Formats: sequence, C-alpha cells, structure tokens
Amino acid sequence: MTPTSARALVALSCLAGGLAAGTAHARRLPAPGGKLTLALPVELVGPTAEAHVYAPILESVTVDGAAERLARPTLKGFPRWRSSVVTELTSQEGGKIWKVGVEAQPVQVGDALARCLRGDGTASWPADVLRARGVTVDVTAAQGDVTLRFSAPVGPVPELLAGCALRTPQAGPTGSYTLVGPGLLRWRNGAFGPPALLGSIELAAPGARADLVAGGADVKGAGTLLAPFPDVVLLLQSAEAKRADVLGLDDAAFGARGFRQALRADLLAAAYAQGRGAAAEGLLPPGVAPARPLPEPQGPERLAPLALTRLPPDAPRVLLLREEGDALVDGVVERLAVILRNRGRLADIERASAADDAKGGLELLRWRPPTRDPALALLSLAGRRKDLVGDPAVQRALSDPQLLSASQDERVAAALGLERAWMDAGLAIPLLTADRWYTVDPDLRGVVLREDGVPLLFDAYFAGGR
Amino acid sequence: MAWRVLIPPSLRFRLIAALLLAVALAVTAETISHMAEVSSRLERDLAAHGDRVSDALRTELEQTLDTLDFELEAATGPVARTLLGGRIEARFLGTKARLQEGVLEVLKVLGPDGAILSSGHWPASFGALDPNFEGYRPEKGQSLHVVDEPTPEGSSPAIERWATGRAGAREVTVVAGRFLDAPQLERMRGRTGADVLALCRVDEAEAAESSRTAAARACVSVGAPGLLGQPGFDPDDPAIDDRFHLVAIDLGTHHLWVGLDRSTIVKVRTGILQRAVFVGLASIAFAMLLGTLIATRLTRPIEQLAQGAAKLASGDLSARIPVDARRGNSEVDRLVDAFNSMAADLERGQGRLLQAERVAAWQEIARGLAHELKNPLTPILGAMDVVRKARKLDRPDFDAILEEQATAVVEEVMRLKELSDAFARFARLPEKKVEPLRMSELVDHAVALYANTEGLTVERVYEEGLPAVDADRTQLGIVVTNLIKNAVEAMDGKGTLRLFLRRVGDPPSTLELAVDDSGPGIAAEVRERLFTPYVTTKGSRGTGLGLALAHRIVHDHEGVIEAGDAPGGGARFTVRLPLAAARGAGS
Repeated sequence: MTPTSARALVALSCLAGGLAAGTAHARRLPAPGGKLTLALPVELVGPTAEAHVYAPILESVTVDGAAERLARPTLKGFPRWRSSVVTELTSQEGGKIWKVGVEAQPVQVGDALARCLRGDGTASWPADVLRARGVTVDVTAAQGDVTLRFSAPVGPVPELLAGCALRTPQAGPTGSYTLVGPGLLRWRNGAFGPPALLGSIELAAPGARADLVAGGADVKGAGTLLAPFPDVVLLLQSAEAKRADVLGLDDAAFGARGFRQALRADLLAAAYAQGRGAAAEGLLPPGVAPARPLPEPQGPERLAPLALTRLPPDAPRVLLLREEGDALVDGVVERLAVILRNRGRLADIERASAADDAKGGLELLRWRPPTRDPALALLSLAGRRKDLVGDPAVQRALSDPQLLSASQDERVAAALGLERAWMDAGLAIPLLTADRWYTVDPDLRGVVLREDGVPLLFDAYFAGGR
Repeated sequence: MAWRVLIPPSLRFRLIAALLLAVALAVTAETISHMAEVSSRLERDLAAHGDRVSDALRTELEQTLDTLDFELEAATGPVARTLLGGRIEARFLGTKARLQEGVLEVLKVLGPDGAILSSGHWPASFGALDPNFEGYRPEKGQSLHVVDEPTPEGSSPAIERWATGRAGAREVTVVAGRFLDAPQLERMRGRTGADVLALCRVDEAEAAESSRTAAARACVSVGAPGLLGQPGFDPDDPAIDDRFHLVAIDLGTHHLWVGLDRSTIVKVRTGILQRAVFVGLASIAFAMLLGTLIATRLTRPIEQLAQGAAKLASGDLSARIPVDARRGNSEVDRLVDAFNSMAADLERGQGRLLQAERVAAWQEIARGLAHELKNPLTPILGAMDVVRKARKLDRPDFDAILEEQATAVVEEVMRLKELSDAFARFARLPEKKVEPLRMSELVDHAVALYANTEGLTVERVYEEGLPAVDADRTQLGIVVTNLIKNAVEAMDGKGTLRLFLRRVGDPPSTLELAVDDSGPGIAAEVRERLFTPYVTTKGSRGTGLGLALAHRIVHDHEGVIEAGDAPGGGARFTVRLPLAAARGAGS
C-alpha cells in the first residue's frame, strides 16, 4: 500500500467512520415532531391540557446545571425560579406590593394574574390560598410591569405565581400547543419560551394504548416516573358525623389508632389500588411536610377483629361521599363501610361533587397538594373547603400571619401548627399516602412531572425518532 | 222504638214481616251452605296447587344446591392452594371467574376463627368476623340453608353451601352461594307459577316453635303485578292471610312463603252472593205480594173486630162486625159472631143500666126534694102549733106571737117558693138563645156585685185577644154568678178570689174559666156528688141546685165543668167551653 493510498484509505475510513458516527449521533438527537399518546385519569386531563396550551407565569427550576442555567436563566434574586414571561420580581413594603416586570403584553399578563389570584371565573389554588387567609389583591398593569397590591404582606409570591398561567378569555393559546380536537394538542409557533419538541399530544382515556400511562401495570422494559410527592387520601368528617362519632374515634377501646389499624392502609393500597401506599401520619405528604419523627405506637397492639354485625334494614345510615373512578378511594370507602358496619351503621356510598361539603356524613378525598410549600398547600385546601375551617382552633391557626411569611422556616412552622389544629379537630383525618406514577415508553425522554403530578412535555422527545 | 210509633206493628204487618223473614232466612241459609261447599272445594284445589308450587320450589332450590356443590368442589382445591401460596387476595382463579359469570354470587374463604380471609363478592370485608360462621357446621351442610349474607348495602338472604379444606396447617371454610334476593325470587316465581313469593327471616328466639306466627317481619317479597300493593309482606297480617293461600317452606333461619291468590275464590263467592241477593230480593218481593194477600184476608175480620171493640170502648154499643156472605166456620168467623153477640148483650145491658140509673137519679132527687120540703114544713107546723096553743091559753101577747109565727111561716113558705122556682128552673130551662158572647164581660159583671165587699180581694187574669163563645147569655150568666157566689160564700166573704180566662188545647179550641177561692176546699167525699141536685155544703143556706144547674147549662153548651183544688189551697171550679170556630168545625 502506498503512502498516498494509505492516506486515502485513512481518509476514507475517517470519512466512513465520521459518517457512521454522525448517523449514530443523529439517531440520538431529539427528533422534532412525532405524536405522543397519554393515558390519563379524568381528573388530570384538564390540567394537563391547560399546562400545555397556556404558558406558565413562573416555573420552578427542577434541573440545576450550568447548561440549564445558560439555556434558561433564573430570575434575578430568585434562583429557584425562572420564567419566559416575567423578567423581574421585586417586593416593597414588606411584601404588600410586588412589581412583576414583563417583557411584553403587560395588560394581558396583568389580566391573567388578576384572574389567577382572585379566582375570577376559574378554579385556582393561589386564589384559594389568598381566600383562606382573607387577603385581597389589586392588580394594575403599566408599561413594562404589573403591580400586585395585597391587603396584607404576602411573602411566597413566586410560589403563588407558579400556580398561574398566562391565560385570559381574550387571548388565545400562549403555550407551546393548541387544542385542535377532543383531547388532541398540536404544536404551535409563537409560544412564550423555547419551542417544544413533540408535534402533537393525544390525551386518551385510561386503559388506552399509550406512550405515557398514568399508573399502569408493570411492562417489561418500560420506565416508571414517580410524582414528586404522593397523594394523601383524607377522610373528611362533617361536623354532624364528628358529633355523632360515627367512626368511634372517641372510643377509648378503638380510637383513632384502632381506626387506622382497622383500615390497614397498606393492605388496601396493595390489594385494591395496585399501587404503593403507606399510612399517612399527617395531612401533608412526605416531601411536602418537613421530616418529623413518627409517633410511637401506644395501647394494645392487637385490637378485636372487626365483625360484620347483622343489622336491621332500619339501622342508622352514614353517607359516604367519594370521587368516582379512583380504585384506591373505592377500596378505602368499601373498607370504611365494613368499619361502620362493625359499629352498627350502614353506609350509603355516593358520588361527591367538587362543590359539596360532606353533607352531614363522611367524604373520602384524594388530595394532591398543588405546591411543595407546606403552608400554601394547606391554605389551598382550607380555601377550597369551607366546611373544614369551622373549628375555632383551626380558625385560630389559619389566622397566623406567618403562614404567608417571606421566611420559609416561619411558613413551615405555621403550617405544622395548622396541620396539628386540623388533626386535633378531627375534621380531616389522613388515612394513607398513595404514589402517583406513570409508566413511560422506554424511548420517551424529557418528561417532567409538575408538583401536583401533571406531566409536562415541553422537553419530551422520542429517542428512537418515531 | 220510633218505627213502632210511626208504623204501628199491626197483625197484618207482623204477618208479612214474619213471612219475609222466613223467606230471607231460607235464602240466606241456602246461600251460606252453597258458598261453604263451593269455597271448600276451591280451597282444596288451591291447597293442592300450593303443594305443587312448593314442590317445584324445593326442586329448584335443590338444583341450586347441586350447582353450588359442583362449584364448591371445583373451588376448594384452588382456593386452598392459593392460600397456601400466601396470597390472601380476592383472586379465586377459575372460581372467581364463575363468580363474575354470575354462576356464583357468594364466594368467601373463612379462617378457623371465622375471620374472612377473602371475599369475592365483598372484597373489602377481609379480616372481619363472619356472623354466619357458627352456622357453617358440617352437619348442616346437607340441608337447605339460607342465611342473611352481609353485603355492603346491609344484608341479603342467600342460599349457601360450604366445604372445609386445608391450606397448610390452617383449616379454611370455603362458602359458595346465591342470593335469594328480589330478582332471584322473581325468577323463581315466574318458573313455578306462584302468585307471591316472600322470603322472611325467622326470629331465632321463636324459631324453635316453628310456627307460622314465628315469622319475623323482615321479608323480601315479590308478587304478580297488582297483587302486592304494599312494599312489605307480613304473613301474620290478617289481610295477607285473607288474600292469599300461604304455604311455608322451612329454610332454617328463613321461611319461604308461597302465596296463591284467593281472588278466584273471592270472585266465586261474590258471584254466589250476588245471585243470592238477586234471588233473595225476588223471593222477598213475591213473598211480600203473597203475604199481603193472605195477611189481608186473614186480618181483615180481626181488624174489624179491633175497630168494633174500639167503638164499644168509646161507648158506641151499636157497633157490629159485618158478616161476609162467604163466611165459613173458621175461628175468626166464630170470633166475629161472638163479638156481635157480646155487643148486642152489652147494648141491652146498657139500656137496662141507664134505666136503673135514671130511676136511681130520680129517687135521689125525690129524696132530696122531700128532705128540702120537710125542712120548712117543720117550723111551719111548729109555728101553727104555737099559735094554736097561744090561742088556747088566751095569751095576752097573742098578737105578738101570731105576728112572730106568721112571719116565720111566711119566711118558710117563701123558702118553699124559692125551692119550687129553683126546681122548676132546673127541670125546665128556657130555650137557649145562642149569640157570640165574651166571657170576660160576664165575669166582670158578676164580680161587680162584690166590688165593695170588705175583706174580699178579686184577682182577674185574662188572656189577651180571647175570642167569643157561642152561648146563651142568661144561662151562662147563671153559671158564672153561681160559681162566684159559691166561691165567695166558701170564704165567708173574706179572702182572695182568683178568676182566670184563657184558651187551652193545641191548637186552642176551648175557652177555660177557672174560679179559685181561698176557702177550705172541697172534701173528697163531697166532690163526687157535688153536681148532683140537692147536694150542698152550705146547709140551710143553699138550695143544692146551683151547681147542678150550672152543670146542666154547661153540658147543654157542650162544655165541661169540674171541681178540684186550687193551686194555692182552696177550691177550683173549672168551666171549659168550645170556642165558636172549634165548635163550628166540630158540628
């Protein structure tokens, strides 16, 4: 072989190798376009569509890295937050006035913030938080910024703004996708922030063949994506049911501990919900609540077994409300019926409506805390359910201004006080926590789960280039 | 009773009523007898039908038991193996599939302590003690066994079979069953032809008695459309028992009641009753017609007898019963003859009695008259004897004696004359001159004579607007004057004289004059003879003809005069005269 031919061979080899390496590299690059199918429970379809059609005002930084910080810089002074809408965030008068700097369309942003913080015409957990504390807000838009004037100091405004989207009745979609049909989202141009990678997203019903399935059975090769923190199954007692002590929590021989033991939350979760669960020790799930020691078991270790007492048809009845379509809640409700039967009562199981309180009976609520901030999470629950704040001790705890303090430590302390007051009042009893997870196609990458478990697909792509 | 007043129960009425009663009783007795016979036959048929239905139900239940046994045999092995694997879950392998297919409706596995290890029909009940565990004994496994199976809604009766198996060292009881709920009962009812099926729990305390009345109230019942108009079914309810023929099938803790509609029997009974009513009414109508004819023929002479007797009783002794030309010799005919004969005898006897009374009256009058005549004659005779003796003795005061005795004689003679005049007036009153007369005027006129009598008080009470009476003024004046004079004299001129004038009767047809005095009253023995001539209570001051004359005048005017006691003491004389209009109407 001559040196020339050898050089040519090396050059060809390098070319071939380079081409081969380039092809292989190209196969690993995000493939633009493509369709992703999501199988979601009914209660997540709306929030998921909304999260992709309307741009978030503020996003928490989930991936901390130099490249990430370079690609999507954080807000000045707020290293945990970034935004494609807001350029600057400053507070005045101890948090009573907040200036939100925006790049463009301040009127539209002001309108969206007013709707989000006041809850005008739509459900909004930030509005629930402010309502629970009795704080009102005045929103004014000017050239280059939007001014929020609260009736009382509000510290965690970035956390609240993270629950808001750029959404007004007048403006169309502001996010990366637009809704083009029932459950079908299509990529759009002109969104705030970097463009999304997937061409379309289909929101399918549970059980459909999908790339991303909420829950789902174990599939060989499939990945599992766990929500940041689990849901909490809460048993809400109406004041009437609490007075009548239908659950026997006031019974020294049974008590709250016996009640939980009878419920056997882990077994329920395993047997009926086919998911992972654990006994909940507080209203706030792990991850949201600060770490704390678990209570030591007290009293007799072994309680008398339940008995399916034979009851006459005119035995006292208890109304049990629960959301439909949730296997975990269904299982707990059925077990509750057994416990009530043991206590000489029959259960009437009915579907709960979001606007209802417990209607004089009991209600099973699978609660998804919307934020990792414990105080805001509890306040959002208090603002949503007026029937849970009737107890004087709860009202006293709710009136603690530290709940909206700028200091996270103070907020946590106040949240723990509110949680204890709630549990002492017996109006909301945490039964178990249940993980929310997704079964993910092995080729699907870049899926991020929001704090409330909603999947965000802005950076998602198929590694296989489907 | 009211009807006795409105309709006097005459013999004719009673005869007709008796005949109608007899007919009604006969029809009723026949109806009841016929109805009882038909009902008995229908009840027997219904009972036989009930037995057939209950046999069919037993067969159906036994077939269900066979199915349960088959499924149980297939289930026990897999269940035990599953449990041995440590997976106490609501998975029963193939048997669970049978549960989902609806072959089984109850499937559960119980531990040795009765705790539910797993339940296919109520998964949430795991770990709880089964209240029926004690009943799942081997010795009971071969019989029909129905229990109240707990369900999320409460409980539901279920027919169950069970078997024991071993899961390692543990003995487990596997129970399979089917609910005997309303849909299942409805299917069984449709297949067996029962009208009503009711599954009732038997109270355990009373179950030992095993009587029909031991059934508790908790029942699941189904019935043909329109038969069960009530949500519940209580076999003890008399209304249910009346409406249905009930047969009980003993299922241990429950009784399965088969109800067969009695409405056919009721309809037949109603039909018989309706026909009986129709026949009865027709018979009664015919009996009424026939009875009226017979009773009329029978009772007419008796009624005539009654009328004749009534006439006799009222004084008409000429009353006779007309004799029918077609008369026979029956008891009634002989009674009529006897009545007529008796009436004739009575009439003759009355004539003789009147004659005797008349003679007795005249004897009384003659005796009185003689007595009255004798009274003045004695002083006259005495006076003449005195005069004759004075003349014989040549008394110097003969003239004075003569004058005195002559005066006495004249007085007595005048008394005799008065007596004579009164008797003449009594015997022959002048002809009446009737004219409209106001009694108040007569009374006022008579009272005026005593206006100035010292010690006498006169009270008059007249009803307003009194009508006139048709009467002879002079004669009635005598009556009024005599009564007032008698009253004043009875009081010796001192006392209270009360005079009342008023109308009596309804409607008012009589004018009543009452004269009350405050004297001593009238002795009872005198009262009866008071109006008899020459009876007086005034001794020599009265003629004894005043009241007799008043009695006659009043009687001539178709009136009545009575003597009695005044309300406040004393005597009362009452005169009642017919008013002009009433008398005109009466005449």
